[in-house]
Amino acid sequence: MGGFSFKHRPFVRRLFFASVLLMLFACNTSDETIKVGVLHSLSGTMAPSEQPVAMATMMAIEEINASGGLLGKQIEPMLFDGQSNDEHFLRLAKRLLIDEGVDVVFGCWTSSCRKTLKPLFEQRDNLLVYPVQFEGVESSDNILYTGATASQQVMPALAWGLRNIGPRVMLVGSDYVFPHVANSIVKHQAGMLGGEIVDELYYILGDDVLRNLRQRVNDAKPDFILSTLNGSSNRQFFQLMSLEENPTPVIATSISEEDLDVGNIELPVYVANSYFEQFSRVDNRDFVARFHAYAGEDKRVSAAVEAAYSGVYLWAQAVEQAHSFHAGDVVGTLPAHSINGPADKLVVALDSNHVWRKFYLAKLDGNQALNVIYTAVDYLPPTPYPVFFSRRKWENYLNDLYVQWGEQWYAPILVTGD
Amino acid sequence: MKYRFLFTGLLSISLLLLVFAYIALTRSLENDLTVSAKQRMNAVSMVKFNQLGQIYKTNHQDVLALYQWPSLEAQFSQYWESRDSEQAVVLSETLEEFAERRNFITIWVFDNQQNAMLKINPTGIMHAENLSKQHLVRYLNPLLVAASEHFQISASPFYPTLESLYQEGIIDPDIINRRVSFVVAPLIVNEQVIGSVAMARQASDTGFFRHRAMSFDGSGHIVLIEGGVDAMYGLLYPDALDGFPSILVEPINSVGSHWSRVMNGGSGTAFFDNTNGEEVYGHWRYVPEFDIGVLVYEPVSKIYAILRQFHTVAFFSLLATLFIFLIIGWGYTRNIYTKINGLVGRLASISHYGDVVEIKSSSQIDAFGYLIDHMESRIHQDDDVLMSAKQRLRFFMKELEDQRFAFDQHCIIVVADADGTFTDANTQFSDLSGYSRSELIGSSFARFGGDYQNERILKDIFDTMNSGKVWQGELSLLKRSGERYWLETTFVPFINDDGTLRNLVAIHTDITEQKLAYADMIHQAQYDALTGLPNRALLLDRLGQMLRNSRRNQNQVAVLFLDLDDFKKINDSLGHEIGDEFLVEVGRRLKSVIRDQDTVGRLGGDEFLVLLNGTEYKEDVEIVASKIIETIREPILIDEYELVVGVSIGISIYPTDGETESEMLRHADSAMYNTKKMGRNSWSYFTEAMNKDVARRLEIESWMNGAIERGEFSVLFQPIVSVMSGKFATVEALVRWTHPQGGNISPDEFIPIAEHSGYIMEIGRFVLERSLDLAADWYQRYNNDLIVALNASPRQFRDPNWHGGIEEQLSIRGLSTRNIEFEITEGVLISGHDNVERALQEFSDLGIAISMDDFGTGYSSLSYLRNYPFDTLKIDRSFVADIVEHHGDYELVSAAIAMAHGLGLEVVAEGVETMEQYELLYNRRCDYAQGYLFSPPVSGQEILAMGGRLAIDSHIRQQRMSFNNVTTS
Repeated sequence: MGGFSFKHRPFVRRLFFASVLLMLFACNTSDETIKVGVLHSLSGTMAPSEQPVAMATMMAIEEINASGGLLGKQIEPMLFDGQSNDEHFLRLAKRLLIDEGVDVVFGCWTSSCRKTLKPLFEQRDNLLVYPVQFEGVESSDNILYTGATASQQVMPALAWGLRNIGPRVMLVGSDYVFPHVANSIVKHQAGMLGGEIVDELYYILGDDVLRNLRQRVNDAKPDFILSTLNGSSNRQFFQLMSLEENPTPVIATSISEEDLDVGNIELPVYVANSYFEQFSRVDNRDFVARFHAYAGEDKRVSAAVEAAYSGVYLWAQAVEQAHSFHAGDVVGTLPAHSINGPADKLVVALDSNHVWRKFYLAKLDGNQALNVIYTAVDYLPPTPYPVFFSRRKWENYLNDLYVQWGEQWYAPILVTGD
Repeated sequence: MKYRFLFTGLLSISLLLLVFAYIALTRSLENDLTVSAKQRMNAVSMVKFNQLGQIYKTNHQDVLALYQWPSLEAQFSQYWESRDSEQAVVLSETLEEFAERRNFITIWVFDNQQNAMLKINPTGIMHAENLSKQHLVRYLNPLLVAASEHFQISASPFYPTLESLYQEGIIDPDIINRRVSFVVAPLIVNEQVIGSVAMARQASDTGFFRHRAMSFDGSGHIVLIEGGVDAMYGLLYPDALDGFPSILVEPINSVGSHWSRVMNGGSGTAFFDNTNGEEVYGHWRYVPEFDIGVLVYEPVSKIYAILRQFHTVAFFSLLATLFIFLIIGWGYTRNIYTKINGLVGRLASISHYGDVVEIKSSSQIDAFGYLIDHMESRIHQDDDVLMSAKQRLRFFMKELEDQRFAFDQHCIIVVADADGTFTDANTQFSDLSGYSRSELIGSSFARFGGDYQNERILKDIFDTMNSGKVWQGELSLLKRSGERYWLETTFVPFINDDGTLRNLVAIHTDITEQKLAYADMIHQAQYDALTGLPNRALLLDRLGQMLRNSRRNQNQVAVLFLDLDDFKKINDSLGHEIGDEFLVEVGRRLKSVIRDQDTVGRLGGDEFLVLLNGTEYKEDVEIVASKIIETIREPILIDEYELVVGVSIGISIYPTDGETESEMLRHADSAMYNTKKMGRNSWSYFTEAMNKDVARRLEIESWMNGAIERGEFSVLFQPIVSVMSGKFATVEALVRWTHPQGGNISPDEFIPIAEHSGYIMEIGRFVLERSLDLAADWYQRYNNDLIVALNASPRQFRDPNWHGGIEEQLSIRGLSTRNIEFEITEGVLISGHDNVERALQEFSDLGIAISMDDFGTGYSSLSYLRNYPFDTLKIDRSFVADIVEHHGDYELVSAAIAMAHGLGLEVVAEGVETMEQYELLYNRRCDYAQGYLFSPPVSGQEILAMGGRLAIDSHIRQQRMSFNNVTTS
C-alpha cells in the first residue's frame, strides 16, 4: 500500500490542484454591484420637470442591469432628492462622492445647480452627467453635457426666424443665467445677420403676472418674439399674447409640453428643440412606450428625458471601453463616444464633453399638437463658446452676471425687468 | 493486479475533475484573450481618433490665427466694399502668405450667399484642380451656411470623396494620401459676418492615410468608411505594405451590414462578419466632425491563435500523462517512467512556443489540459486504451518528428549550449541575420548586437533558463549589414537529469514589419504637435514604465509638474503665434537640462511634465528643479520681444507619494498649486497634508452649515487699551467656533473656508449683531459709547447691501456709526476689487473709522496708507513680540509709530504681553495697546463687568509713574 501511494503521488497532487482550480473558478462568478448617484429635485418648484428626468435615468440603469449589467456588475443607483435647492444639491453631492464613494452622478436641471456642483466635481475628478439644454459658455472635463447648447438650439432658432418671419426680434426671458447668456449670444448673432433686437424683457422665475408685457410688445412691434421663459410663466405668456388681435409669432426654446396646455389659443407658436416625443422612428416609439410603461402614461417625454436616458448609455459605453468604473479612467476618454439614441445618434465632440445635436422646429397646431416643420440637414457641433467672443471674454461676462446677482446664478427677487 | 480496479476508479475520477478544470481554463483563457483584444482594438482606434482630433484642433487654431492675421481684416473689408481687382490682388497676397505659413494648399472665400469671391492656390498642388466651382460649393454648402448663420467652425469630409474616387476608378495610394480636408469658418469683419472661408490642408501632412498607419500587428486592419449618395464606401489597405488600397462598397441600410452600424453612430466592440465573410473582432466609432467611420479589426483566428496552440499542447500532454499513469499502473520500472517524463518535458517545451507562459511554467496544468480532449473516449473504451498504448506511443513519436520539421520550415531557430555558444541554427536564421551557418555555429550571442549585447537581458534569459522556465519577449538585433530587426522570441531550456541546463532552443518570429508600422503610427499619436515633446498619453505611459522598473529596482521616480507663471499674459497681449514659439523654446530648454534617461513632455497649455528615472537622493531632484527654474528664467527672444516668465514646480516622488501614474500626476499637480500659492518661481514637494487639507476643508465646510443656528459660534471681545490712561473704550470682536465633534476650530482655519463658501457673510452678520448688542448694553449701563472693532472680509466688500445692513442694525439699537470700526488687512486691499475703494470711501463718509490690521506682515505698501481713508494703524504682534530683545524690531516699531503719526493716524500695538513691552511702547508714544497683559478675549458679560477699567489698571498706573521718572531723569 505504501509503495502504491508513493508511485501515485503526482496523481494525488494533480487531483488536489484540479479541485483548487475548480474552487477558484467557482468563486470568480459571484456578483458585485457598483454604486452611482442620481441627484434630481423630487420635491419643490423644479420637481415637475426633474422627476421624469430622474425616472428616465433609473429606467436606463434598470435596462442595463436587466441585460447583464456593466463589466459583469449590477449598477446600484442611489437616488437623492435635491429639493430644488442648490445648497442642498451640493450637500447631497458631497455625501454621494465622499461618503458613498460614487464616481459618477447623473443630475441637475438648472444651470445654477450645475454651476454650484461643478467645482466639487472638478476638485475630486469625478463625473457629473448633465442632461438639460443650456446656454453653453462652459466646458469641464468632469461634466458630460448631453443636452443642446445655445449654438444648437437658440442660435439656429433665431436664424430660422430671421429668414422665415422677419428682421425685428423681441427677446423675452426668465431672469437667470440661461436666458441672459442665450440672449447675449442672440444679440450678437442678430446684429451679424442683419436682424434688429427691438426690445428685451426679463421676468423673475415663476412670475405669473408678467406686468407690462402687452404694452411693451405693442410699443416695440416685433416681427416675432424669441422666448427663453421657463416654467409656469409660459402659460400666462401665451394667454396674454393670444389676446392681441394680430398676435405676434413666438419661438419658444425652454418650454415643456405641459406649459403648452393652455386651451385653444390663436397664436402662432414655434418650439425649437433637439428632440420631440412625436418622432416616428421605430426606436423612438419604442422608447416612448417603454418610458410610459415605466413612469406612467401621463408623463411627457421631454428633450431632457431623452438626454438623461442617453446619458446613462454614453457613460456605460465609456466605462465599458475604459474597462474601469473609476471616474479618473473615464473622464479623459469621453470625446468621440457615441450611441445610437432613441431619435438621433449622440456623439460626444472631439474637443469637448458636449454632444452633437440635431435642430428641430415644431409648430403648434389647432389641436394643441406639435408638428415638426423644419429639420436641420446636418448634425450641429456643440461649440460651447461662440466664436465672436474669445473664451475669456465669455467667462468675464458670466462672472459679471454672477457678481451683479450677489454671487448666485439667478437674479435676486428685488429686481424686475423694466 | 488487485490494485488495478482501484487504480482505474481513481483515474476516472481524476479525469472527470480534469475535464472541469480544462473547460474552466479554456474559458478563462478565451475571456482573457477577448479582453486583451478589446483593449488592443480600442487603443488602435484611439490612435486614429486622436489623429483626427489633432487635425480638428489645429483647424481651430488656424481659424483664430486667420482672424488675428495682420491687416487681413481691413483688406477683407476694403475688398468687400470696392470689389476692386487691385484690392483683390492685395488680399490674395496676404492670404497666400497665410496659407504658406499655415500649410494650406488652397483657400476659397465666399460671401453670405455662398458665392465664391476669391480663390488662392499658391502651391498649385491641389490635385483636384479639376474640382469645378459648382462641385466644390455643393460639397461645402451645408458647412458654408452653418458658418455664416451659426458662426460654426467645421471640418469637411475628406475630398475627393471615396465615392468619387471609386466612380473614377482611382485608387492610387498617393492620391488617397493627398486627399484634403477643408476647414470652414465664418468670415468676421468689424463684428459682422460678411461671408465664409474654406481652407484646404492635405492629409499627407498628418500622415493619416499612410499605409503604415492603416494596418497593425500584421493582420489587423483599419477601414475608413464614408457615406455616399446611395452607398457607403470603405477604404482598406492590404496586409503587405507595398500593395494598393481598395475601395469597398456597401449599399446604405443593407440589412445586417456592420457598416450601417458604424455610420449610424454608437461606438463599440464586437464580433462580426467582415465584408468578405471572414469572422473578425473589432472596434468602431463614428466621428461626426469629418463624417467618417473608423473601423478597426483583427481576424478571430488571429485573436485565438494562442488558444489553438493551447489545445494542441493540451492534446499532447494529455496523451503523455496517460502514458505515465498507464506505465505506472502496469508496474513498469521507475527508469522508464523517468525517461518518458523527460520526453514529455521536452515535448511540452517544444510545442510550447506560444504565449501561455504561466501554463508552461507548471507542468501539472499542461498535463491536466492534455488529458481532457481524449477523456470521453477513454471512459468509453478504457480497456482498448490500455491495449493500444504502444501504438499510440509510436504515433506520438512520429507527430513529434513532423512537428519539428514544420517548426524548422516556419520558425527561426537557434540552439545554444549552456554557455551561450551556438551549436546549431537553421537557414531561416542565417538568411535573416546575414551570417552563414558556419559563421553562426560556435559564435556567441554578443555577435548579433542589439539586445544580445545587453547584459541585463542576457542575464535575465540565462537566469530563466537555469531555473528551467521558458523565457519570452521581443528582441531587437542587428543584421550583419548593421540594419536593425525585431524578433518575437521564445527560449526553451533543456534540462539534464540533475536539473542543470544542458542546452537551450530559441524560436523566433520576425516582427520587424509590424514593429516599424506600429512605431510609426504610435509616434504620430504620442507627440505634441507644437513642441514635438511626448504628449500626455505618452507621458503617462512612460511614467507607468518607470514605476514598474522602479518597483523592481527599488529606486525612486520623481514627477515634476511645471506650470509657467504668467504665460497667459504673453498669449493675450502678443497673440498665439508668439505664445506658440515661446512654448517651443521652453520645451527645447527643458530638454537641455535633463538626462537621457529622463523624460520631458507637454501636458497641454503651459503645463509641462518632467519625469526623473531612478533617482536616489532628493538632492538630485532639487538640482534638476533649480536648473529648470534657472533656464526658464533666462529671457527668451522672439521677434523683437524679450520675454521673461517664471515657472512653478510641484514634485511628487514614487513610491512615497503615490502608487499609480494618475495619483503621482495629481499629487505633483497639488504640489505645483502649493508652489503657486507660496510665491511662484520655485518648487515644492507633495505632502500628505495637501491631500488632508482638501479633506479637512470639505469636512469643515459641511460642519459649517447651520452652525450659527445651532449656537456653535460665539463672539469674544478683547479690550484695546489707551497707553496713556490704561483704560479702554474700544474692544475688538473675535469670533470663536466650537463644533461638537471637531472641538475648537481656529479662525485661521475656518475663516478662509467660510470666505470661499460664502458662509462668511452669515458669520459677519452674526458678529456684527452680537457686537452691537454689547455696545447697546454698554450704553444702557454706562451711558457712554463703546467702540467695537470688526474684521472685514473681502467678500463683504462685494456685497452691495453691506452698508445698508449695518446702518439698519445700528438704528434698531439706537446706536450710531461711532460705535463701530472696521479692521482691514492688506490682503483685502490687494484683492483689488474696485468695490473695496468705493466701500472704504462710503465708510469714511458714514463716519465709520477704518484701521489697517496686521501692519508689517504683508506688502506694507505705504501707498495704501496714503490712498485710503485710514484712521488707525495696527502693528502686527510678531513685531511687538521681540521689541524688548531685538533692537531691530524696536526700531521698526518706533519708525512705524512715527510714520503713522506723521500721516495723522493713531497706532495700536497688538500682542502686548509684558510690562517691558508696555514701557517701550509708552516711551515711543504709541496710542493704544492690546494683548494678554491687559486682558485675553473675554465674553461680552465680562466686558460689561469691567466697565472700561482693567484689573491691571492700578498696577499700570504705578508703573507708569516709574516710566515717567526714568524718561524725565
